[in-house]
Amino acid sequence: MAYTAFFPSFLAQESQDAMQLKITDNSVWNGESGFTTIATVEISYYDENDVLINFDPYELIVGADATKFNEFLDRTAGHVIELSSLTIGGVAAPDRFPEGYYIIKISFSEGSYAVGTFPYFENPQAFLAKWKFMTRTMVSDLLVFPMTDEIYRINRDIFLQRIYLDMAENAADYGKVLEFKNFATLIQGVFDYYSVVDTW
Amino acid sequence: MTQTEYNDSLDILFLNEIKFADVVAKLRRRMDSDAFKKEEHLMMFDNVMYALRDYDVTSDGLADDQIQSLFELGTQLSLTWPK
Repeated sequence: MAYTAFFPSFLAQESQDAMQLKITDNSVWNGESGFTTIATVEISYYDENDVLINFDPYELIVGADATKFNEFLDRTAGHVIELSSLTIGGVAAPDRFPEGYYIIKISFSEGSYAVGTFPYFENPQAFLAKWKFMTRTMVSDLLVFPMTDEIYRINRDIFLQRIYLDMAENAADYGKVLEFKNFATLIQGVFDYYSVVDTW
Repeated sequence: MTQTEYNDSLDILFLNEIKFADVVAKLRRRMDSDAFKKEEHLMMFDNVMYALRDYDVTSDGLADDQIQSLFELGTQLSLTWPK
Protein backbone atom coordinates (compact mmCIF):
# COMPACT_ATOMS: atom_id res chain seq x y z
CA MET A 1 0.00 0.00 0.00
CA ALA A 2 1.44 3.38 -0.98
CA TYR A 3 1.72 6.17 1.56
CA THR A 4 -1.65 7.96 1.77
CA ALA A 5 -0.61 11.53 2.57
CA PHE A 6 3.18 11.66 2.74
CA PHE A 7 5.07 14.92 2.26
CA PRO A 8 8.77 14.15 2.66
CA SER A 9 11.05 16.81 4.08
CA PHE A 10 14.17 16.92 6.24
CA LEU A 11 16.76 19.29 7.66
CA ALA A 12 20.49 18.89 7.03
CA GLN A 13 23.34 20.44 8.97
CA GLU A 14 27.07 20.11 8.45
CA SER A 15 29.15 19.87 11.64
CA GLN A 16 31.66 22.59 12.50
CA ASP A 17 34.59 20.26 11.78
CA ALA A 18 33.11 19.23 8.39
CA MET A 19 33.36 15.55 9.30
CA GLN A 20 29.69 14.87 9.96
CA LEU A 21 26.30 15.65 8.51
CA LYS A 22 23.20 15.62 10.69
CA ILE A 23 19.89 14.86 9.01
CA THR A 24 16.62 15.34 10.85
CA ASP A 25 13.17 14.37 9.63
CA ASN A 26 10.66 17.13 8.97
CA SER A 27 8.12 15.14 6.94
CA VAL A 28 4.37 14.84 7.23
CA TRP A 29 3.86 11.09 7.53
CA ASN A 30 0.18 10.71 8.36
CA GLY A 31 1.27 8.12 10.93
CA GLU A 32 2.82 5.86 8.30
CA SER A 33 6.56 6.23 8.91
CA GLY A 34 6.59 2.71 10.39
CA PHE A 35 5.71 1.19 6.98
CA THR A 36 8.99 2.41 5.46
CA THR A 37 11.37 -0.31 4.31
CA ILE A 38 13.73 1.77 2.16
CA ALA A 39 15.25 5.15 3.00
CA THR A 40 18.23 6.12 0.90
CA VAL A 41 20.38 9.22 1.31
CA GLU A 42 22.15 10.50 -1.81
CA ILE A 43 24.70 13.28 -1.42
CA SER A 44 26.35 15.12 -4.29
CA TYR A 45 28.32 18.34 -4.62
CA TYR A 46 30.02 20.51 -7.21
CA ASP A 47 33.80 20.41 -6.91
CA GLU A 48 36.09 23.37 -7.70
CA ASN A 49 36.06 22.40 -11.40
CA ASP A 50 32.26 22.49 -11.46
CA VAL A 51 32.02 18.73 -11.78
CA LEU A 52 29.16 17.07 -9.91
CA ILE A 53 30.61 14.47 -7.53
CA ASN A 54 28.24 11.81 -6.20
CA PHE A 55 28.79 10.01 -2.93
CA ASP A 56 27.63 6.40 -2.98
CA PRO A 57 24.07 5.98 -1.64
CA TYR A 58 23.79 5.69 2.14
CA GLU A 59 21.03 3.45 3.46
CA LEU A 60 19.14 4.38 6.63
CA ILE A 61 17.50 0.96 6.75
CA VAL A 62 19.87 -1.97 6.37
CA GLY A 63 18.00 -5.28 6.15
CA ALA A 64 15.81 -5.43 9.27
CA ASP A 65 17.93 -2.86 11.11
CA ALA A 66 16.11 0.48 11.18
CA THR A 67 18.27 2.07 13.92
CA LYS A 68 19.55 4.86 11.66
CA PHE A 69 16.08 5.53 10.29
CA ASN A 70 14.60 5.74 13.79
CA GLU A 71 17.34 8.19 14.77
CA PHE A 72 16.50 10.22 11.67
CA LEU A 73 12.83 10.30 12.72
CA ASP A 74 13.77 11.66 16.14
CA ARG A 75 13.32 15.37 15.49
CA THR A 76 15.43 16.37 18.48
CA ALA A 77 18.47 14.19 17.94
CA GLY A 78 18.44 13.32 14.24
CA HIS A 79 20.86 10.89 12.59
CA VAL A 80 24.51 11.81 12.20
CA ILE A 81 26.26 10.57 9.07
CA GLU A 82 29.98 10.23 9.64
CA LEU A 83 31.96 11.23 6.57
CA SER A 84 34.22 8.27 7.27
CA SER A 85 31.27 5.96 6.52
CA LEU A 86 30.73 7.45 3.05
CA THR A 87 32.43 6.41 -0.17
CA ILE A 88 32.73 7.84 -3.67
CA GLY A 89 32.79 5.18 -6.38
CA GLY A 90 33.59 2.59 -3.72
CA VAL A 91 36.63 4.57 -2.53
CA ALA A 92 36.82 6.30 0.87
CA ALA A 93 35.60 9.91 0.78
CA PRO A 94 37.94 12.82 1.69
CA ASP A 95 38.66 13.51 5.41
CA ARG A 96 36.37 16.54 5.46
CA PHE A 97 33.41 17.63 3.39
CA PRO A 98 34.92 19.99 0.80
CA GLU A 99 33.43 23.50 0.64
CA GLY A 100 30.71 23.84 -1.93
CA TYR A 101 27.14 23.53 -3.08
CA TYR A 102 25.61 20.23 -1.97
CA ILE A 103 22.43 18.47 -2.92
CA ILE A 104 21.17 16.01 -0.34
CA LYS A 105 18.32 13.80 -1.43
CA ILE A 106 16.47 11.22 0.61
CA SER A 107 14.03 8.85 -1.07
CA PHE A 108 11.61 6.60 0.76
CA SER A 109 9.55 3.54 -0.01
CA GLU A 110 7.40 1.02 1.79
CA GLY A 111 7.71 -1.52 -1.02
CA SER A 112 4.90 -0.56 -3.37
CA TYR A 113 6.73 1.97 -5.56
CA ALA A 114 8.58 1.04 -8.73
CA VAL A 115 12.30 1.90 -8.77
CA GLY A 116 12.69 5.52 -9.83
CA THR A 117 9.28 6.60 -8.56
CA PHE A 118 10.04 6.69 -4.82
CA PRO A 119 8.80 9.77 -2.97
CA TYR A 120 11.81 11.95 -2.20
CA PHE A 121 12.92 15.32 -0.92
CA GLU A 122 15.93 17.26 -2.19
CA ASN A 123 17.65 19.67 0.13
CA PRO A 124 20.30 21.97 -1.41
CA GLN A 125 22.84 23.18 1.14
CA ALA A 126 26.01 25.25 1.30
CA PHE A 127 28.81 23.45 3.16
CA LEU A 128 31.07 26.25 4.37
CA ALA A 129 32.50 24.99 7.66
CA LYS A 130 36.12 25.63 6.70
CA TRP A 131 35.47 29.11 5.34
CA LYS A 132 33.57 30.03 8.50
CA PHE A 133 36.58 29.01 10.57
CA MET A 134 38.89 30.95 8.30
CA THR A 135 36.70 34.02 8.85
CA ARG A 136 36.92 33.47 12.60
CA THR A 137 40.72 33.39 12.33
CA MET A 138 40.65 36.63 10.30
CA VAL A 139 39.05 38.30 13.32
CA SER A 140 41.56 36.89 15.80
CA ASP A 141 44.64 37.42 13.62
CA LEU A 142 43.91 40.72 11.86
CA LEU A 143 41.87 42.87 14.21
CA VAL A 144 43.49 44.94 16.96
CA PHE A 145 42.32 47.84 19.07
CA PRO A 146 42.40 50.87 18.81
CA MET A 147 41.07 51.23 15.31
CA THR A 148 43.44 52.76 12.75
CA ASP A 149 42.49 53.50 9.13
CA GLU A 150 43.94 50.12 8.13
CA ILE A 151 42.05 48.26 10.86
CA TYR A 152 38.91 50.19 9.92
CA ARG A 153 39.16 48.74 6.39
CA ILE A 154 39.91 45.20 7.57
CA ASN A 155 37.02 45.41 10.04
CA ARG A 156 34.67 46.32 7.19
CA ASP A 157 36.07 43.54 4.98
CA ILE A 158 35.50 40.93 7.69
CA PHE A 159 31.96 42.18 8.21
CA LEU A 160 31.39 41.94 4.44
CA GLN A 161 32.93 38.46 4.34
CA ARG A 162 30.38 37.34 6.90
CA ILE A 163 27.61 38.77 4.74
CA TYR A 164 29.02 36.94 1.69
CA LEU A 165 28.98 33.68 3.68
CA ASP A 166 25.36 34.25 4.71
CA MET A 167 24.41 35.14 1.14
CA ALA A 168 26.11 31.99 -0.19
CA GLU A 169 24.12 29.92 2.30
CA ASN A 170 20.89 31.67 1.35
CA ALA A 171 21.60 31.14 -2.35
CA ALA A 172 22.09 27.42 -1.75
CA ASP A 173 18.95 27.19 0.40
CA TYR A 174 16.99 28.55 -2.56
CA GLY A 175 18.74 26.25 -5.04
CA LYS A 176 20.50 29.12 -6.85
CA VAL A 177 23.73 27.44 -7.95
CA LEU A 178 25.08 30.33 -10.02
CA GLU A 179 24.46 32.86 -7.26
CA PHE A 180 26.19 30.53 -4.81
CA LYS A 181 29.22 30.32 -7.10
CA ASN A 182 29.39 34.11 -7.39
CA PHE A 183 29.50 34.50 -3.62
CA ALA A 184 31.97 31.62 -3.30
CA THR A 185 34.28 33.47 -5.71
CA LEU A 186 33.97 36.68 -3.68
CA ILE A 187 34.69 34.80 -0.44
CA GLN A 188 37.79 33.17 -1.89
CA GLY A 189 38.94 36.54 -3.22
CA VAL A 190 38.87 38.04 0.29
CA PHE A 191 40.79 35.06 1.71
CA ASP A 192 43.40 35.38 -1.05
CA TYR A 193 43.75 39.12 -0.51
CA TYR A 194 44.47 38.66 3.19
CA SER A 195 46.46 35.42 2.63
CA VAL A 196 44.29 33.58 5.14
CA VAL A 197 45.70 30.11 5.77
CA ASP A 198 43.40 27.12 5.22
CA THR A 199 42.09 25.85 8.57
CA TRP A 200 42.42 22.25 7.32
CA MET B 1 38.49 25.17 28.71
CA THR B 2 35.22 23.24 28.85
CA GLN B 3 32.23 24.19 26.69
CA THR B 4 30.36 25.41 29.80
CA GLU B 5 33.24 27.65 30.91
CA TYR B 6 33.53 28.96 27.38
CA ASN B 7 29.80 29.71 27.12
CA ASP B 8 29.77 31.46 30.52
CA SER B 9 32.62 33.75 29.44
CA LEU B 10 30.80 34.52 26.23
CA ASP B 11 27.53 35.41 27.96
CA ILE B 12 29.05 38.55 29.52
CA LEU B 13 30.24 39.83 26.14
CA PHE B 14 26.93 38.93 24.56
CA LEU B 15 25.00 41.08 27.05
CA ASN B 16 27.29 44.03 26.24
CA GLU B 17 26.73 43.50 22.53
CA ILE B 18 22.95 43.69 22.97
CA LYS B 19 23.29 46.85 25.08
CA PHE B 20 25.56 48.55 22.53
CA ALA B 21 23.40 47.54 19.58
CA ASP B 22 20.43 49.10 21.35
CA VAL B 23 22.33 52.38 21.85
CA VAL B 24 23.36 52.50 18.17
CA ALA B 25 19.82 51.76 17.01
CA LYS B 26 18.46 54.63 19.12
CA LEU B 27 21.10 57.05 17.80
CA ARG B 28 20.30 55.98 14.25
CA ARG B 29 16.62 56.57 14.81
CA ARG B 30 17.37 60.06 16.09
CA MET B 31 19.70 60.64 13.10
CA ASP B 32 22.43 61.47 15.58
CA SER B 33 25.84 61.85 13.89
CA ASP B 34 27.42 60.07 16.86
CA ALA B 35 25.90 56.85 15.53
CA PHE B 36 28.66 56.50 12.95
CA LYS B 37 31.54 56.28 15.40
CA LYS B 38 29.66 53.92 17.66
CA GLU B 39 28.57 51.80 14.70
CA GLU B 40 32.20 51.17 13.72
CA HIS B 41 32.93 50.10 17.27
CA LEU B 42 29.86 47.87 17.34
CA MET B 43 30.80 46.35 13.98
CA MET B 44 34.19 45.32 15.36
CA PHE B 45 32.53 43.96 18.48
CA ASP B 46 30.10 42.04 16.31
CA ASN B 47 32.99 40.56 14.30
CA VAL B 48 34.58 39.38 17.54
CA MET B 49 31.30 37.88 18.66
CA TYR B 50 30.93 36.13 15.31
CA ALA B 51 34.30 34.50 15.82
CA LEU B 52 33.39 33.35 19.33
CA ARG B 53 29.68 32.55 19.06
CA ASP B 54 28.53 28.91 18.71
CA TYR B 55 32.09 27.68 18.77
CA ASP B 56 32.49 24.02 19.62
CA VAL B 57 35.60 23.82 21.82
CA THR B 58 36.16 20.20 20.82
CA SER B 59 36.46 21.12 17.14
CA ASP B 60 40.02 22.54 17.48
CA GLY B 61 39.30 25.03 14.70
CA LEU B 62 40.80 27.86 16.75
CA ALA B 63 44.03 27.66 18.72
CA ASP B 64 43.93 28.51 22.44
CA ASP B 65 45.88 31.74 21.91
CA GLN B 66 43.42 32.79 19.18
CA ILE B 67 40.47 32.26 21.55
CA GLN B 68 42.35 34.16 24.25
CA SER B 69 43.05 37.13 21.96
CA LEU B 70 39.39 37.21 20.86
CA PHE B 71 38.16 37.35 24.45
CA GLU B 72 40.71 40.07 25.22
CA LEU B 73 39.64 42.11 22.21
CA GLY B 74 35.96 41.68 23.17
CA THR B 75 36.70 42.84 26.72
CA GLN B 76 38.72 45.79 25.43
CA LEU B 77 35.87 46.83 23.14
CA SER B 78 33.39 46.55 26.02
CA LEU B 79 35.53 48.77 28.24
CA THR B 80 36.25 51.40 25.59
CA TRP B 81 32.73 51.96 24.30
CA PRO B 82 32.84 55.53 22.87
CA LYS B 83 31.34 58.15 25.17
